[in-house]
Amino acid sequence: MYIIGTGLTKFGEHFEKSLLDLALEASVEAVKESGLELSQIDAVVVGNMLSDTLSSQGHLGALLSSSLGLNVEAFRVEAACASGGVAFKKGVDMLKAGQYQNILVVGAEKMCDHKSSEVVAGLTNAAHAEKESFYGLTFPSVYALMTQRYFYQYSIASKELAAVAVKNHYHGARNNKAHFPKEITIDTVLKSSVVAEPLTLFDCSPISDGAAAVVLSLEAKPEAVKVLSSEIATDSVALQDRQKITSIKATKIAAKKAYKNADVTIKDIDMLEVHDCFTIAEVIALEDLGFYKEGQAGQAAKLGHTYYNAKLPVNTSGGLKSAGHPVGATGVKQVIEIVHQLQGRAEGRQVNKAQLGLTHNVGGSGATAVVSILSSNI
Amino acid sequence: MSIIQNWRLYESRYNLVGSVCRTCGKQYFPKSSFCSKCGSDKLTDETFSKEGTVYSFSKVNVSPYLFQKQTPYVVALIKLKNGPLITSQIVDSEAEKIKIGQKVKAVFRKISDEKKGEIISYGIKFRLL
Amino acid sequence: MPGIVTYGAYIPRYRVTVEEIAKVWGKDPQDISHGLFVTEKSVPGVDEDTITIAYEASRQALARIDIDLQKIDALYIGSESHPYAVKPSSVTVATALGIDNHYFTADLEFACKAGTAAMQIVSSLLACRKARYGLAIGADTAQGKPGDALEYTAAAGGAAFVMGSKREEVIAEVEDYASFASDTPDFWRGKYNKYPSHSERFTGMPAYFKHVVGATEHYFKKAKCLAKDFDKAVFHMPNGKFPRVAAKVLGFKESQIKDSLVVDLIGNTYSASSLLGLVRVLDKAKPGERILVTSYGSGSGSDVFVFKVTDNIKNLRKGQKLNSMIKDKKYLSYGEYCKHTGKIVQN
Repeated sequence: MYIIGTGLTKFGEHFEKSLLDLALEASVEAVKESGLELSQIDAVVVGNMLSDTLSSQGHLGALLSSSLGLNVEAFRVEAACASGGVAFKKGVDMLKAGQYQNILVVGAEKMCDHKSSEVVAGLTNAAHAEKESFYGLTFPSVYALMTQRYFYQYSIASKELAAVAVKNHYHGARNNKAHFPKEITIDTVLKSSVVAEPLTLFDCSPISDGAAAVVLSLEAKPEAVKVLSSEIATDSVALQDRQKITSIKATKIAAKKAYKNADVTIKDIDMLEVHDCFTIAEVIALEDLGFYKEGQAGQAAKLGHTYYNAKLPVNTSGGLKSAGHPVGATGVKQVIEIVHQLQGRAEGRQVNKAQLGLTHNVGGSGATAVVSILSSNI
Repeated sequence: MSIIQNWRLYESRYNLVGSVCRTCGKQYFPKSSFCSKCGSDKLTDETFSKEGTVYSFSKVNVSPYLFQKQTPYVVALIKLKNGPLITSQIVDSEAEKIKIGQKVKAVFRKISDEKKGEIISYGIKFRLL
Repeated sequence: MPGIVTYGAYIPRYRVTVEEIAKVWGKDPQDISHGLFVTEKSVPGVDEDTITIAYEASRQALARIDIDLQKIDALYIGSESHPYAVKPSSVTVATALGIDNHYFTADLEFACKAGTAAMQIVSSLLACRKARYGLAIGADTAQGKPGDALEYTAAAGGAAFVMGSKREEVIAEVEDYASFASDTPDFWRGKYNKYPSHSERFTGMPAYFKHVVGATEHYFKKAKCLAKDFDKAVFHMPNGKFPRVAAKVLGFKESQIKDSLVVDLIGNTYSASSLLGLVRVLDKAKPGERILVTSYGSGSGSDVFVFKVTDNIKNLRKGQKLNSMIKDKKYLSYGEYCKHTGKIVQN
């Protein structure tokens, strides 16, 4: 399986464009880059979380494929913030099944059309309705509960988390598709308003519009990137039902399978795009993916280890934090960042000699995790 | 959530009634009909203790529509005494005084804001002992 | 005769001072406190209402005895702030307490005397042996119109009494009860109105005093007794002044009513007012004491209850004393008070 084309809109506030406009923009760009004709696309998989909740629009598969002038198999995948990652994995699965040659995977989300209270409520649907949302838990507060417990068990505090945001904004400032391409300081994070203690506004990824698309193909072409593995694992939706809340079991399981199926170890991985919906999430991800022991990834950004030109580049796109988090688009955007890095196209933030990259996309507070490994060696 | 969806949970919510797996002993809150740990469907109702300790907490400043009147409020994971970990709020307590491990007791409260013409949701929240 | 088996109370943690309210409306707080004998009042939490308060008071009561909840055959809640116009508070409280389906129940409303009305119904059901035990509850989150005189006193609280008939369980025997009522337009709230209205000075002589004094004197005459025959007395407390005046008119000394005057500390808790007075008296009561309670509900009516404390009160488990609940408090600004009592319109 190869990624032969990518398309990405700028992430941000697109008041003048609809969800479909954004999805079409990314799709057309990806197909064009692939060198294929639209008619060569055999199926369309759409990753999206909120269109029916916020925009009164379901049935996105047919909506997008027909708008592209296609009559092929098309459907939408929903797995909260992992919708894009799961859509990508489904595309890979369909190719593996052997029925199709070329598949278009699109992640898209339209959030800025709506009041923040509506978006907050929509995102909270990713939590457990009866066990969590009913009691007033919001998405930031679910991660805040994890953070508070993490602070209690391990020796890091808000400053270490702030360093994650600073690093991701440093990367985002070098990505012209990022929603907030601006460098920030530790103080920016610590002095911003508190959303859910101890997380401040700058510990949280923003509400963004955007779309990302890739064309997956059974056949390589020059510059194509190979999908070595893509794995999904799940766990309890509610935090209260997890064995612990300072790590995400689904990530661990998905990662283990992904390494095994790609026949690689963490030493082989040159760079990561991880799901930093909140700063704490990047810290936990680095541990769950095996790059740090539990409780020890907190210092990584602060010590400079995860910058694009350091030993373990993490979130060179700016992550969800700075690049933006149009939820359904995120998982596909992560794949595109790795593809561009492996192709040497990541101007301004190019990782030196990158050959193997990993993406990590999470739904909810960790109930779904998708880990994919991509290689430039075809 | 719909009125009926909430009504089904009244017993659990008003009185901390959950389930215990008769095969492996795993506890569930609210009630569950299937044990995800051992696969058994032999679960019986159990009323859990109204005391517990704070497992984690967060003061929420940015809240959804149904909780705006209460904002800011403190959400928490509470480990019930001899019972499971559950999710709720800590009320009547200054947020700065709340610490992980502190003892709490259950109180009966309106859960979300009252909306004109709607059914009011009641349930258990916690207060520092 | 039936009597009280156990009792409990609940006062929300929040307070607003007369000074804080007076400041907003350009009034002299000392003037107001002098006139009302009230310096602060209890305010419900943002997530509290009559149902949650009734529940907490009941749970305080039930925690003090060992009782099979399924033997509670009656539950009545008196309040003028039931959360719904139509849908009973009582069933939510009973379900939360764990009482099964077999009980007589209804919500009662008679301004501030609905709590004693609940007690009358429960006492009567016990007397005619239709119930083994019954819960009589008075609870309110009273509303005062911003800027109105009632805003300084309209408070929140609840009291619950488990009543039964077993001689060995009754801590305060009901000796008798009586009522006095008339159609008197002193205070009312229209069907769709948030705040009550009142007839100002008319609420005094023709309303409160006529009924409180009338009911008590009616009982005195019937039972051939006088104020001196009681150890303690409780009168409905719309403010600190009215019960003191009524007591004096009826021949009671300050020492007989002083324990009951919770109003001085938390304001007027409406349907819970005279019942909280009774709770505070029972918190200190000794076997053999006789207690007179006269409630008052605008509209208007008064209920008289006469209790005789028994030896069993020494065996009742210690619950949280009303005084300790009164002392556990957090002061609110006027803005926070408005938020707590739903006075801020958000849409």
